[in-house]
Amino acid sequence: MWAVIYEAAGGLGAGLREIAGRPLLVRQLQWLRDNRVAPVVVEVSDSPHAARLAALLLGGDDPLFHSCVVVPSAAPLGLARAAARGGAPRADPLLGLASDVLVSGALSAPCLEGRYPLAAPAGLPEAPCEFSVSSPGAPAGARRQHAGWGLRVDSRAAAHAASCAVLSGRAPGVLVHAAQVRPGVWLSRGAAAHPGAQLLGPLLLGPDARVLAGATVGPEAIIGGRALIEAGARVARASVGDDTWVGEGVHLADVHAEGARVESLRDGTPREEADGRHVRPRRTPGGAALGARLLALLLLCALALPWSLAAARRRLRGERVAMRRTVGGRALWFGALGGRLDCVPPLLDVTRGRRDLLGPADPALLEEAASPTALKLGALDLTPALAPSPHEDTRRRMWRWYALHRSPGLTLRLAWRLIRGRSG
Amino acid sequence: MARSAPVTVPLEGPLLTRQRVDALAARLDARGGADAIVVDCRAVTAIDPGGLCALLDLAQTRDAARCVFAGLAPALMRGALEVGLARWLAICSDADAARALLQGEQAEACGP
Repeated sequence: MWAVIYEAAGGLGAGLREIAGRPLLVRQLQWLRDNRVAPVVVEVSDSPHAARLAALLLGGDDPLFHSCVVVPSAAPLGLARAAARGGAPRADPLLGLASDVLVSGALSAPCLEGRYPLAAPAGLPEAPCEFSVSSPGAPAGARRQHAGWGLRVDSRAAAHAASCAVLSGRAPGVLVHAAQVRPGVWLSRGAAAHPGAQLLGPLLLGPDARVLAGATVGPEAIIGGRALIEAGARVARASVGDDTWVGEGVHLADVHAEGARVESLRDGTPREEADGRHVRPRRTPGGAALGARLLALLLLCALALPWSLAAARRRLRGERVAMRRTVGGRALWFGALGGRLDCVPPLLDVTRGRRDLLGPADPALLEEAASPTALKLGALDLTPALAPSPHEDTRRRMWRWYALHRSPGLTLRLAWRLIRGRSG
Repeated sequence: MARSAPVTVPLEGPLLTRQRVDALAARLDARGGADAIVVDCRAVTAIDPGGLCALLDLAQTRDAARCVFAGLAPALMRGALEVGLARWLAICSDADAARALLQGEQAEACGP
């Protein structure tokens, strides 16, 4: 039997709404596959989401999409026209499913023609929805019964509620691609939470997501892949998108946070909070700039002779001149002469792109490696100019601020202060 | 014990430097037993890294005090939030929010 997923009039792009970590379209295709319904015609109507939907269908290697026929349209076509455009044989029965309807449960055998109204799972609001099975010549209006449940996912809030129902077990039959470590608490592959973090179900941590000490995540929280929840943050009745960093002490409730954008779960309006919320796209630090590497090379050439003489004197006394330590997974050089020439071995690392020319010299000041404020160690320590404070916490936070606001002008200003021995 | 009304202490601007934060700290210390302090930041339009560092040090040493920074420009407020200042000090965009944070107590001459 063929199936058609046609665009619902008020639900353009609904297929991208996530249900427990997977787009609704994927959940629909999984249900059809489990019931051996193929091929599937998927209508993609012109909307801001069309490109992403098409990329999902056409760009992946998932076998789930191999039996899909994509039908682009300028405006929603409806079931019959989408089926005709997709090449569904007119003589065969056809299962019609709106793009914003999530269904679970086995189809009856045989699957008779008719309309199948769906009941929502326990605890979720009822919103009329159905799927249909039609055949040429058979009456279309016969009302049938479906053994499973169904839900209209017409908003992000509805998708969030459906996800929480799936994670808590109230909506069975939807596959969660994660391990349930406690009732209602699901961790995907690579996700990790510090022992000092609090996880309250229903909750899903996406692939490679991290939750740091002191954070509270849940209940009713969906955390995207590679997201980072910083220490002391609280996320409840909210969702965090992929590759999103939620800053220290940030409280998120009833919102969806993705990249640098925070919007209400209920109606999608942007939220501008003023009580310590801070959300950013997560990124990893890149390699040292070419200019910094060339400058490091010049400094190496200039300092090579005095360093060699000092090193030779120490070697004659049987003392160490440099040492290698692993910091953040990288083997780095540290000088051991005990003076200003100790910057020479780190300059070697700068030429190889393993350090920044200017940056923190103390490994204790480095952030979590994939934090958007992560820096690499520097060969020349800017800390006396940037953060002349007795508190290590202050120094760490100032380096975080520098990482977010770093610019050539700021760096030069701090370097000038360093040279002149002034600060603040 | 009855709480005294919050008092307002102006922060000099336009650039928040270490020296100005040290002067603010001295004025806060001179206040002694005031329960709640509203720091009027309307004059500050730019933050020097040294001033931000000094502000963080101030926050670490006065975390037992109730101190609200009011009138901070949105761009500067974001910079302060980025270093986690909100963990110790409440930061508000305007005086009404400051007053609300101080639970309805009267604040002296603190306007938007």
